[in-house]
Amino acid sequence: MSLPVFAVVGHPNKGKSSIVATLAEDESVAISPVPGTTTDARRYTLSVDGEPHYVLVDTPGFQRPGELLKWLRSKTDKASERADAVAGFVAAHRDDPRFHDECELLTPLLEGAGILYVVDGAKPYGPEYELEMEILRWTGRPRMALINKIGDGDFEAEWRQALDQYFSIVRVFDALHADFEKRISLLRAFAELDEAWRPRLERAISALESERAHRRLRSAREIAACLKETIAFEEHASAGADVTPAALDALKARLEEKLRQRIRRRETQMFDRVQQIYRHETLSREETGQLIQDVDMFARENWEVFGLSRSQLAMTGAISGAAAGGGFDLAVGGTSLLLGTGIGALIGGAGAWFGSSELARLKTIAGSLGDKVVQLGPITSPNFPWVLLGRAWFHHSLVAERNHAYRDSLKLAIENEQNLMNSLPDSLHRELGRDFQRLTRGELADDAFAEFAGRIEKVLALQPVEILV
Amino acid sequence: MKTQREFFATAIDIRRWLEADTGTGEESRIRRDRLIGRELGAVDCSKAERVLAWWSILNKQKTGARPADACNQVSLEINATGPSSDGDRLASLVSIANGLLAVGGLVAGVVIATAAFAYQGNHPVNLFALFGILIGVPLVLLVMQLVLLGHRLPLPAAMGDALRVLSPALWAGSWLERRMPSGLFASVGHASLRGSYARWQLIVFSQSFAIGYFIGVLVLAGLLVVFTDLAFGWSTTLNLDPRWVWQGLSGLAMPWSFFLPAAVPDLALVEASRYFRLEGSELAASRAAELGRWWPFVLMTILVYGLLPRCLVAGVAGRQLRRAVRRLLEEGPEITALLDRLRSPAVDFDAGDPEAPVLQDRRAAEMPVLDIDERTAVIVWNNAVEAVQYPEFWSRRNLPVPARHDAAEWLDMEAMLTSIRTPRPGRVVILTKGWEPPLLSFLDFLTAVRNSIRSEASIAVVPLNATRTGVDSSDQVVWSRAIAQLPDPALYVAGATS
Ligand SMILES: Nc1nc2c(ncn2[C@@H]2O[C@H](COP(=O)(O)OP(=O)(O)O)[C@@H](O)[C@H]2O)c(=O)[nH]1
Ligand SMILES: [Mg+2]
Repeated sequence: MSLPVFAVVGHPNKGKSSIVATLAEDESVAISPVPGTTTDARRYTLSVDGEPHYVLVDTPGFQRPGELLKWLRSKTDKASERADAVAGFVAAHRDDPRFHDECELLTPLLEGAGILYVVDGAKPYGPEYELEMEILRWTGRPRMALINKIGDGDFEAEWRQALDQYFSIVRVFDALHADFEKRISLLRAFAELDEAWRPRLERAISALESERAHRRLRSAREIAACLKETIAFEEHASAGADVTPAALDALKARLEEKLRQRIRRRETQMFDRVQQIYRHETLSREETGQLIQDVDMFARENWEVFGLSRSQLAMTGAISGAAAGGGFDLAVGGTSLLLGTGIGALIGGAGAWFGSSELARLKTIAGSLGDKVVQLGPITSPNFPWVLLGRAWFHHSLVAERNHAYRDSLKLAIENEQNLMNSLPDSLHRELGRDFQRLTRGELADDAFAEFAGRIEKVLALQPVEILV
Repeated sequence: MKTQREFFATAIDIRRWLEADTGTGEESRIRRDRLIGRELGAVDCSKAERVLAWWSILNKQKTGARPADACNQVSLEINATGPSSDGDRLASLVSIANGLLAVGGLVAGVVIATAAFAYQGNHPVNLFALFGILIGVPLVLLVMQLVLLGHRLPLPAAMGDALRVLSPALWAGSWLERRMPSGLFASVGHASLRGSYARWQLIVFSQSFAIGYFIGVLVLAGLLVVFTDLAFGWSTTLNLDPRWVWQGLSGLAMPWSFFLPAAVPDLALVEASRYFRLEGSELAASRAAELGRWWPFVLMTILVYGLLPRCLVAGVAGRQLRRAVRRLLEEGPEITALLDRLRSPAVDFDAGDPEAPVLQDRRAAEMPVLDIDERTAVIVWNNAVEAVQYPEFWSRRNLPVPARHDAAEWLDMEAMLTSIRTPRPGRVVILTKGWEPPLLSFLDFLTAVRNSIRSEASIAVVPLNATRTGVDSSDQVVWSRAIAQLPDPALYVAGATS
């Protein structure tokens, strides 16, 4: 059975590399507004358990289509000899630097690749494209045109009329915003180019689909593990002989800062791993100043957006006994927060705020030799797990939906009556509340972990925010 | 077959290794583990066996040996763990803890029994007090421990703490956690431990201590019986009919009454053993011998109601511990993720080496403005301005409409050049589609134009936007850069703002 190979070809700067990056989920594909960024053909092989299922080839664009077509026409005027003429061109110019890009582009086609011809539907059609399309027709390979849209214009109708002359299949595919379903549907369309490719492509599709479902579960497990671990965090210090209230307060402040640092580190690790699951390793290294990672976990705004109000906490049963004494003034009635620009700009007294409830309680435990040891933790703040979950949820939705061709920062907005956690169904809310309580008491045993992660997965399946691009 | 201890040690090693492995990139973990997972194949084996098999293959890979192929086969011969691995050390520590607890229990048993059997010869040893101290208290502690480890009781914190202080098993747990932080006993201090390894290990620890304790008690009692004279009696302030006491004690002795009738007290003995402290201390020697007859009953009671329950609990807890150790390899985030990686196909896009990062510089420089005179030749490249729009293009800029030369990708180069050359232009303006990237064919054209006209004449390339009113600054940058590749000092990009 032959391996389906698709060469993504076209004019420079029309989003060929972007389409490859999106389909191959590869954030390392070089994409740039500067034409000629892709200099050599690059193969991206989708393999399942090491077995290749299909190959995408990113190519440089046509640079001298006029000369190329002239050369071809000078060789033959018989339709039956056209493919040979193309092969002849590549053979004659393989070492000619003037036709480097053309040779890179044509070689995979001569080797049997299907053609994905990319145009920009936001820009007007022009007769110069006919040269490229004519050359592609000469290769005799099965071909499909993809109308990508870079910008606001709409010349799709115009393009379709021209493309229909040369391509059996013409589809619109937005490289930057295509979601998973659109990508899968495009793969299905690939199969129409050559029936012999269908079985492999179908298998690739089902592998991608189960992988997709799997990623959410794996992310949920990462988040659940992070919650479980951070809540159990404890910091110890020796209080020595001096146990005046002032000394204890100072000690507590120090321990709390240590605790926060540890929580931040653990959270970052969780974010990284969720990104890895979605192959978005470098997301945080970009200039995405508005990403949730860059907003401090302990900044007040987080607790407003992700934390629960006192009445909500009471509903989940999270405030009970001693914790109720704390008193939460987290009511965020009717605010509509623009997160992103919102959070970044709003951060004021970062790090000093949990409402009037403390993060964890200070306990004195007996050390050896009469020395007093104080312990801060495990985390007892009933809002803490909600905030952590809210951030993780938010981050996950961002990462899971993010396209691999998209290299700029996303603008995210929360439009919510009260806060993010309000959008959870009541039953899920209550169940999670119970889980968090058990976590706080250290009662969530290993065997209950899977269920807990399952509930987190249900949260992740919901869309917390609208992603505005 | 692996012993419990080896199994435990391996489980700990695997868990620790997996924890450290979280630093490895997700994709390489998937690739690595899925490869092993496929080697294991669809062989039907339990989760724990699968994990063990994975571990053994992983270790063989590390040592370069050929990996084995089926999991039942490998699970028999896993000893890849080094001799002094963390797991081994923890397993040793657990054994040491068990031993120390047993010895501690023994000592405690001897000490407490010495006090409980204290008999100066003035009063007989009170059986009620004796059983209360030696059997009653440990029995209550046992029940409380079992309840506390399984459920969270709404006890005041202070009381919970007090109970914890009393539990040698919890001491052992926190000692282990301090000696080697494994996380296994981390939540011991503040939690009930339903279903977990720590719960059963702590119960086993308790039983080690208690079994030591009862052995200590029994040994001491035996020694006292053999080498000293003991007299037992019972005493109460209540107006108790000795018959009831006798019935109660016979009930206690029921389990062994069938095969050890000598260890069952008779009514006469019970009646004779009641004493009042006011009676005075002197007991007749004959009565002392009579009261000594209690000893088989005393020993049997300690054995059956003290030692035996502990042995039973130890047996059950041991079995549960075995299961819990197994679960160490079946549950928990890291193990679940591992099993997942072993099972699910690795989907991956491979592109070999990463491409070089793209440098971006999108600053647009100042541009001279489009201007023409009567000696300027205007070339429209690729139909950038359509014929119908051409006059309007100029009139909008308050310029006279110049003659139009068409040049394009699809036209013949020589013909184009000939038309431009006559008459020789003093200047050339080329209108292009700014939104289309400048191809090398366009640069070829520029070179040809330069070669065919007078060399000092300037050539202005004017990229336009779709409305032909100007050019987008990012497109301008692209065009300026492309044009700058040609070594032509009189060639530049001009703007066509209207
Ligand atoms: N807005 C938008 N920009 C796009 C889209 N596809 C590509 N681009 C941008 O267009 C430029 C060229 O894309 P690239 O993939 O490098 O084109 P190639 O030269 O054909 O490989 C890059 O700056 C991309 O970010 C799209 O669908 N929408
Ligand atoms: Mg490219």
